[in-house]
Amino acid sequence: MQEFVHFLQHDVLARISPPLGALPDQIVLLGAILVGAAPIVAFMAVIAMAWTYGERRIAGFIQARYGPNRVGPEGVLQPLADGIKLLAKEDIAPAGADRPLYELAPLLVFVGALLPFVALPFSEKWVISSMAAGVFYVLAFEAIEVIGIIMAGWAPNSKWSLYGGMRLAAQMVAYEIPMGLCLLTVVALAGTLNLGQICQMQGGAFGVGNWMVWPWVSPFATLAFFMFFVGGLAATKRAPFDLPEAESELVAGFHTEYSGIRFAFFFMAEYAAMYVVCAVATVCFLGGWHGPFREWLAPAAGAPTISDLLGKAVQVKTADGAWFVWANLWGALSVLGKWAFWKPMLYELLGAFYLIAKSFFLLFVMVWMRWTLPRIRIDQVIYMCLKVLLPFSLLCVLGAAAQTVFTDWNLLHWLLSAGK
Amino acid sequence: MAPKQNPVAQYFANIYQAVATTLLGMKLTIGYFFRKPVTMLYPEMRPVVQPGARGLHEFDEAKCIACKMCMTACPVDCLVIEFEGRGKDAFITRYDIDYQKCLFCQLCCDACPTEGIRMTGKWDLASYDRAGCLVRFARPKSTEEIRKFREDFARAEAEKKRKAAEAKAKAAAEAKPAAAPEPEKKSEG
Amino acid sequence: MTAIERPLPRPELETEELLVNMGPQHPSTHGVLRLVIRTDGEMVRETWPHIGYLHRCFEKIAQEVTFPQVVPYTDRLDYLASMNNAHSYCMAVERLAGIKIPPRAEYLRVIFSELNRIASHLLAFGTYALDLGAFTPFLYGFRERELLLDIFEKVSGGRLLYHYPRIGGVARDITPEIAKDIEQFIRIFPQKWAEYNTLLSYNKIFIERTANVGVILPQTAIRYGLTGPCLRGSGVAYDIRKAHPYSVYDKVDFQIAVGQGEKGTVGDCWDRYWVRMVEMMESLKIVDQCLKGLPEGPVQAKVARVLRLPDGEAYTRAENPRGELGFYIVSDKKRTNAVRCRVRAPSFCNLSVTHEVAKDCLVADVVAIVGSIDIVLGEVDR
Repeated sequence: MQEFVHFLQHDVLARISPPLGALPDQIVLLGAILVGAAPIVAFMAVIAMAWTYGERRIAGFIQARYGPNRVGPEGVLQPLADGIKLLAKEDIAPAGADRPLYELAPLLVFVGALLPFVALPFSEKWVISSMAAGVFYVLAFEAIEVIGIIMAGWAPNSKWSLYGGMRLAAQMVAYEIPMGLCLLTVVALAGTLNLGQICQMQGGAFGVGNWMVWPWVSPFATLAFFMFFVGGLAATKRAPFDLPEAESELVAGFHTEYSGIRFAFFFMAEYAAMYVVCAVATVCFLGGWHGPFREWLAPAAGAPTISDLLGKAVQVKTADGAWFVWANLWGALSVLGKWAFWKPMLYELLGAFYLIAKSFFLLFVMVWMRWTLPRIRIDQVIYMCLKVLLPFSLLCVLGAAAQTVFTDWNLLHWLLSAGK
Repeated sequence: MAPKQNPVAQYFANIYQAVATTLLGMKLTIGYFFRKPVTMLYPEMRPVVQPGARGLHEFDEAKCIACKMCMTACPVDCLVIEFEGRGKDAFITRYDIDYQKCLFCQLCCDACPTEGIRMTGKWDLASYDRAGCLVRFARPKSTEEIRKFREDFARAEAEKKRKAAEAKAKAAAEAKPAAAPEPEKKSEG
Repeated sequence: MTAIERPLPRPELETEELLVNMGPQHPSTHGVLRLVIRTDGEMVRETWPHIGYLHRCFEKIAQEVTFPQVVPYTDRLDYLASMNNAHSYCMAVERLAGIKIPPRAEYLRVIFSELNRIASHLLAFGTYALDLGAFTPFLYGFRERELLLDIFEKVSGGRLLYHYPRIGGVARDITPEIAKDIEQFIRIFPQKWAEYNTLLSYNKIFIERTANVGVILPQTAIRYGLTGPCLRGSGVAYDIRKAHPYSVYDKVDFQIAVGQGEKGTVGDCWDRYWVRMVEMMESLKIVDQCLKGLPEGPVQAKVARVLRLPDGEAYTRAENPRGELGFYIVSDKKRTNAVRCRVRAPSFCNLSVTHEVAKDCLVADVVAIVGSIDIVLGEVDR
């Protein structure tokens, strides 16, 4: 990302408007980050809204009823109506609340849910930061939520909230371990912590042949995928692990006392966290952006990249001291009319479609499970984590390590060499 | 209780059962996901009210004989009748049911000898205030009307009384010679 | 009970016990029950049920209004089993008045009492699932309950408070159409019942949540005067329909469902739940037999318009979905209302065991236990 911003600034912007191009790098980068962050927040909001609607609609059909179908066609505008309602609601704080913590908690939860999007790829090249320790980063920042929720449990001075917060702390901290180990299985097989690279090597025949989840790639990864999904359910406090907000026991758990926009933050954070877990599962196990027919759009070797196109389009010489060079702006915009520009775009778009579709399928399964199963008790949650998931995920890591060592089958090398 | 198993087998059996029963349940719910919902879209589709449903009352003033049976039968005294005159020609000035109190037990309707009060399938009871819960079934009458009826009724009563007295006198006159032992029975009716 | 004392090596680490008010406004207390629980973290040390939020002076009202006027009030005791309540009350009045009701009315009373038992157990099943965090069984239960409510509406005119059994018989006769509806229900219900079992009864999570939880020993159950599924769940085969048959229960063939500790210990929550599930099928059998053997004739005996009972007292009991519902009536021949009317409400007695059972368990277990006792606050507080 940084290189691309650098390129934009020095090779494109500088030719269109030299004074702008001469701005300090840091400022341009900051601007780029702000511009880049907007779609991410918007994406998160859209996902949360879409899934509040989706969840209720799916629940409706599962329960042989209609679900929300009044606001807009088939009720699709329902989340918007809910959002307006939540914004307009009075923001109430209990009398005995610890105000600073009370107000900070939803923000922290929200930020915790937002940060993993930085390393999360949306498509092959569409990733904010393709960091080397992506897996580690995502896991680490998802865990920030715990702090926010403990604060939310403590601050309102309500016993139910406290129970919810404590339950969540126990549950989430416990499930971080098997989740991490399951991802470690993939890391051991792939030999990298970079989410993009892990995903890149899962193409195979038809774009589906080499998904990590297939037993022929590694049976350990198959097992790890299911355990990761279960762990993900627990970490995002979804049924049957929704004890922190178990409404038949704890009224509403940690967000009992929250109303209005603060409640909306918790709500959005929950759905964003669900999406993150599903997207990570997709990237690590289900082949991420790979899918059938995507190869047809693959850019040929030596085909011009977007940078090349842009660089070529803004070649008009500029006079010294010129403020703005229209010819270069038109040149830059003319790129939009070229198939060479759109082909890689479509390639990425199809990848994003596959990734999001797979993630949405996993989200659907989450919702489906929620409306099927009763809730587990807290001791059983911990039992399941420590006595079932933990040993099996350790087994997976060991198995994957053994597979890598003894069969001399480092997927990364093997696949990369096979691709050549 | 299930026979004691060896703990290792139990451990794996538990995992197997958890997965298997979860999948079975999910299979069942996804089946309903693709089926048509059984609920109805309320304001557009109204439920069919079965004949004989115990809903809002229907009052037929013409049939009412002001016998007050419904009032006595009511367990909660939600029914108030006021009337002038009596019997078939009674002039009902007030027939109120307070639906805040009503139990919808149908005892009033069962008690009614003329089916003047009946229950219908109407069930939409909502009103915006408490006053709306008090339903006045009798046609509202003006004081003028009531006074007129009162006068008419008094006249009719007097007429009746006079006739009855005449008949009595006549009967007495007829009975005297015959010395019949049934002097008063018929004159009442 | 005194607080549990444990020596702590480091007194500064001592934890505090928390007194939590669960209810009267709480999603899982089935109305307005208030549970005060003393907890140590997630562990519940003690539970006290507090009642009285739904007291409506039923007994006093029953002493003020005339006998036929009490019948609609009985509907409001256990509002999920109106047919059964009115059945029991009418039996008490009829016994005192010496009214012999026509056989067809007896059969109809039994048919609708049993159908109401199914409806009530369906709701118990649904709300229990809801207590344990599963939403869908609740709606499935309601779906089938709706069919029953339609039948009840056809026959009595009401969907919840039926006022169907009357002193001296029943309000209306059934039409062939209603009989057909009931047959239809009998035909489709077993399949739906199997679905409930797949979805909930045999679900591993559900079993883990309920088996071995809230065990009521048989002697405890008897000591606390539990009746109904709570008693039978503890393995005591006592059912008033068999032990002291009333109406036509001696003429029909059915089994008493008894908890056997299939998934855990005898008397645990799963057993109580399972007894209800089995009872639904047994009720279906009774309805089937009654419908086949329904005699012709009137449905209402001659009853005086102004009913005055001879001096005396009577206690009748009936097996309600929640246990033994008894009506004790003292009458005076000069009065048109009872001198004393006392209700022995099953939910009230069943609830009393909460304090004994719901202790030293987890918060989630308290919900499971109270749910498995299946109370209706309308009856507890009366």
